[in-house]
Amino acid sequence: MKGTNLGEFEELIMLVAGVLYPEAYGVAIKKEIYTQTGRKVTLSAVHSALHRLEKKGFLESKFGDATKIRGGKRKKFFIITTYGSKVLNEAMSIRKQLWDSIPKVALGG
Amino acid sequence: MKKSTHNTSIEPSKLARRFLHWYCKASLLEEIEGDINESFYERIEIMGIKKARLFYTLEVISFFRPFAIRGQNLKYHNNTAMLRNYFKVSFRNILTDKLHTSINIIGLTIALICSIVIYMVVRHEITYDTFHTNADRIFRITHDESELNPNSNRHLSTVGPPVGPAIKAFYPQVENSVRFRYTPTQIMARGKERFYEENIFYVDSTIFNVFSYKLALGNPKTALKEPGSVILTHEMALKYFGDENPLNQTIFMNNDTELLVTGVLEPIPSNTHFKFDFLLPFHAFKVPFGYPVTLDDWGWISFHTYVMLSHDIDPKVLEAELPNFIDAHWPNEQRRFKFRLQPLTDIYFGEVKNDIIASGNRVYVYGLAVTGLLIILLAAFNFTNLSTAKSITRAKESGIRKTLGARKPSLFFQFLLEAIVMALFALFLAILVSPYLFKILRNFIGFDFQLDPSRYPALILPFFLITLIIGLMAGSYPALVMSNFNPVSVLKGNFKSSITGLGLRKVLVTLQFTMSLALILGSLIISSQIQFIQNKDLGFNRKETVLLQMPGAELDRHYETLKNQLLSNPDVLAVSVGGGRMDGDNGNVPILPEGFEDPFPMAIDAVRHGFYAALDIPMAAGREFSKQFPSDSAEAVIINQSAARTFGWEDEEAIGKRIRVDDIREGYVIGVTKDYHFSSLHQPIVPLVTTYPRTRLRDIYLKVKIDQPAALISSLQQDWNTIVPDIPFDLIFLDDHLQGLYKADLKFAKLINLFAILAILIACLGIYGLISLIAQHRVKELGIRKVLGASMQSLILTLSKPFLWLMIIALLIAVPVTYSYMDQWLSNFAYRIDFQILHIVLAGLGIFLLIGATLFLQSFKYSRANPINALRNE
Repeated sequence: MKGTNLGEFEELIMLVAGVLYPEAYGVAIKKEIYTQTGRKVTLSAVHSALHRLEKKGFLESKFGDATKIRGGKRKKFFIITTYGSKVLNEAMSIRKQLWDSIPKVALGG
Repeated sequence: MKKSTHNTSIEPSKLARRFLHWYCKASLLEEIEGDINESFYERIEIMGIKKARLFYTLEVISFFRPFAIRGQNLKYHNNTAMLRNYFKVSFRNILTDKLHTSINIIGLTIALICSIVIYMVVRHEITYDTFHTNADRIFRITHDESELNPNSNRHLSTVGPPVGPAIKAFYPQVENSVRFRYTPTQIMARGKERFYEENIFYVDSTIFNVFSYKLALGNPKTALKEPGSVILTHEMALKYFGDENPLNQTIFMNNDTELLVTGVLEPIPSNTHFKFDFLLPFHAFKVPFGYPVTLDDWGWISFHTYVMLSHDIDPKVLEAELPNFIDAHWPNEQRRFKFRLQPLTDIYFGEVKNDIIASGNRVYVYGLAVTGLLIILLAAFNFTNLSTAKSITRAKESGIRKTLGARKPSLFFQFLLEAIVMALFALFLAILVSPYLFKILRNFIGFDFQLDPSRYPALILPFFLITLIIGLMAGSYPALVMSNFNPVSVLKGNFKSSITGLGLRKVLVTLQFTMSLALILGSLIISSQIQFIQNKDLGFNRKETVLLQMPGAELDRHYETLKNQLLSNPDVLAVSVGGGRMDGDNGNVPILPEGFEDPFPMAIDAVRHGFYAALDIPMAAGREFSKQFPSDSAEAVIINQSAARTFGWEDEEAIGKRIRVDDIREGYVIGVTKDYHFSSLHQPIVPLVTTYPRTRLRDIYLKVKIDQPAALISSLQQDWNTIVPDIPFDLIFLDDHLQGLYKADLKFAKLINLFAILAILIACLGIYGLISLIAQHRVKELGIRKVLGASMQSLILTLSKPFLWLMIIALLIAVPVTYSYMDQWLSNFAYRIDFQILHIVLAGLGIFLLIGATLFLQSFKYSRANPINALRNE
């Protein structure tokens, strides 16, 4: 089961990778997470999650261009795979389904 | 100068980058490094370079996690699994007992920091002059009379001016030679910027063939060709020209000599015995005014001369042949002295002292090294003691591991590994902290070097090894104890909080006490010797004397008017002119008194009228130079009491005796002064012969009222500016100048004091931890005692008594050992303190109170605890 599981942070990363399509890479994702959610995450946490997601097959990557500010190192762009988008959709629909089945009283309404 | 130095500083930390490259998987490196770089450059804009570099390093460290680390396919081996378990268990252990873990780690970290500092200092000291590529075949020629001349024991670091070229021509084995000639303080000026400069040397152009000084600008082959050229050091180029290119610009020496800058040296390592700021061509050197010598004079012994021998020439063989060389050139002096060849790298610690030459002291270097070793031992002993004492709590773990099939060696290895990991962690902390310590030391001690990251690689290997050794040393005994537990008795619960390692613990604690005591005692003795030096009556008024320096020719011209102006200042009590600065920088000439045939080489000085009165130096007989006797300037001589005794004269008897001072004076003694210290207290007072100056002197001596130094300086400056506004005003407090003679001593004293404090801190930490462990094991016993009616005092005594005995034994060992070492140090001074019982009492009392307080604090806590808590816990 572990292989297909999608953690909260992982989901966030995937969504942000989608937002930034097609130019989602480490630093950009980190900044986007901050502007969208106000969460400060470390670069290494982002990389670690990206790496994990790629291993699970949710993301795929290719090298982009090198810039001077990066000391001549290329960026690595991450794109959501078909499998990845399926899993994201699934996560959302499960969530939606759950939301829908919560009685209104339970949410203090 | 070089613009590139600015660019390098906006690069991220090299060490961190290297670390990243080392651990990171090749497949991930590019993206990770790119991202870190990008954040780094963005951060520079936001928070500045310093913080950005720090964040860069932190980021690199934060990437040190499993997904990015290379080569982890070992993960699934059984051995690795076991190792992981070891780490896990040690980690848990570390967390459960935070007090003792932090005592261990703090102690080790402090010890490692100290030893890094000491290592750097010692390495700096023992690598003096080794940066010259040909260091092994460069020798200084020295002039040694101690063997052949019965009237003299002087050994000079200089020779006459013709020796350098002559020795090269005489011996094919001598590949090259180079001469340096010192010149007294000059005013260097560029436009309105004027400074007194001391380190100006005339030098042969062969300097670049012999030594490894490199020119950053200019051509070494031609830089010293023209008489009016000058080579600047890197520092002087910055001082006078800032960012401009100094090449082909001019500076003025003493307003009259125009010098063209033909070269700028690259920065010279600070551990060089010969320090200079300006190099002028040797052929531009002129015999100073009033000197009765020429450049062909073999007897003008004041030129530092170095030779470079051909490869594979034995200096001993050459040295033995040198009398032939003397015979050939200087036949009448042949039986009076020897030339010696002193290896370049021996000069710094060498016997032959000279004021221009930086000289070190081996005793200090050894002292520091020993202190470093002691501190490391202290911390290691803490570790051993605490771990052994703690082993009881881990006996169950060891028992279960054994039952489950662990063999003794693997248990041993486990516990050893724990120790090593802890030591390595301490090393990591120490390396992080030490650059800051270096900065503090720089301000505190005036360290002339700092620990820049480029030195880290050189540091890491030796210290990795040292740390490994500490880990092994400290960890092997506890590991042995813990792997030796008998599983059956441990698990049955029979295991007593027994006497495991008690003997060893006692020995180690005693040794710790001994070392701390030795360090306290040592630093007490050092401090009181330093205090003794600073307060010793030198035979003249050191506190109320200031010097104003002025180039000799100007001084001759303006002295009388300036003197009158200064005397009108109510704070100025007397004015005179003196030659030496009481720092032992005196010339040495043959003195022939009445009734003797062989001259005595003696120190000389020259002073003008009223000098002794101005400095409060009493006359033992006769009078000093006076204007009422116009013939004084031509034929009067003043000697000190030591000189009178050397000639076998009583004070009064000496007056009127005929005396010949080299070729300078033929006259008679008019006065005998009481002995005063005209050189540092490292040397005894030697005979001194003083004449009225015939060469140009440069120091005006003032006796002043010094209640308000700032006001005094400004009023003197006003006087100065009314008479000689064009000459820079430079005031020197004589006492400050004399402190400079003890710079090395003070530095050493401060370092030892600092390390002694740290060592005692480590020892106290250890005792604190140890007694808390012991109390924990004896908690039931203490509870029972208390229930049965023991008073708190008696409980405290029960806990501390064993340590008190150890302290007394330590005192008995430490005192004689320290004294024999300190005696060696004190023998560096001709004037030294005696050993005092007070020191022993103070040191003993100090450590007794410190350790006693630590003991008391801890045992107080345990003896106050409610016995119920201890006893119901079955």
